[in-house]
Amino acid sequence: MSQQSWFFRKIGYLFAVTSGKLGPSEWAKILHAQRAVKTHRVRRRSLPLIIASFVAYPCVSIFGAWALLAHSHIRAAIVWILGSNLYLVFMVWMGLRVMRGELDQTTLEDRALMEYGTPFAALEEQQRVDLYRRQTRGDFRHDISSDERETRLRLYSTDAAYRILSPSIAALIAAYWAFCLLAPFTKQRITLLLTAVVFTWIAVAIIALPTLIRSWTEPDDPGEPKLVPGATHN
Amino acid sequence: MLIHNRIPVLRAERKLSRVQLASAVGVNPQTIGFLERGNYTPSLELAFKICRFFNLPMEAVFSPDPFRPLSDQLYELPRKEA
Repeated sequence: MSQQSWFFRKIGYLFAVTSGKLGPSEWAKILHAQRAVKTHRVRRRSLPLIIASFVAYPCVSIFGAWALLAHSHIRAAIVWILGSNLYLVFMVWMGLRVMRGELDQTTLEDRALMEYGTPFAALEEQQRVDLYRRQTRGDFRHDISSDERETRLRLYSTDAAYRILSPSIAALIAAYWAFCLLAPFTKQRITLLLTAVVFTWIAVAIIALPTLIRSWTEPDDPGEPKLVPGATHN
Repeated sequence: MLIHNRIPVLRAERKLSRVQLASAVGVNPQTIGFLERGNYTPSLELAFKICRFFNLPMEAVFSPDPFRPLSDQLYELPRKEA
């Protein structure tokens, strides 16, 4: 692999995994990256970046639209808002999906032991490529079977997210009402208040959802079994 | 509540890797690691699967109290008998 170009050695090998041309050093880099991504430290450090993207991406749509509106390109602004927003939401959704997949997937090294009974380093190139291909496909398609610990963690995360979400939505709605009530007393204020009513009830529905789901799924209390006089065990 | 377990000892006795035990009981190898470190309490179903795999009763593998070393328990028996 020493004849490979600088670009191939640094980044290019990632695009050539399935070609079967990777050497031991490139595979070692891939395995190292997989192990690193699974560590607590790397996952926690990447969170601020993800949260920053939630702030930065809407700015791309908003500032781009403002720039177009400043030059009176109204149609272009509408297309830009729609297009950029759809594209960025799709990218973030895919990113989160891959992230979830990586959290649930076992590493290539463990998969090699589980599926072939040998360490990854001892596998033939075709077997390595096959494992890698299936893992990457699993990241995107998310056809991964989670075990009970992962399912429990996911339930815990959903619960924690809801506990953060409920008061945050309530606070946002309160702030929006304050904004609407402080607006000048014109027809526009009535429109704003009407949107506030709609948002409030959407928020109420979101906050009430877990209770509604529970009331739908909770089975009847079976109560104590009653003894029937003269009945047999048959 | 933390449930203590003897999985590392049992695994070492039988020369089993985490991956082998994980495959046998149908979980990911990481889950066996978390169980051994005491970071995860298994469901009743998984606990039964593990006990059945080692062919041992539940109280031999899991306990709400910390386990005494197996060697202590083993050598205590002849002493009591004497």
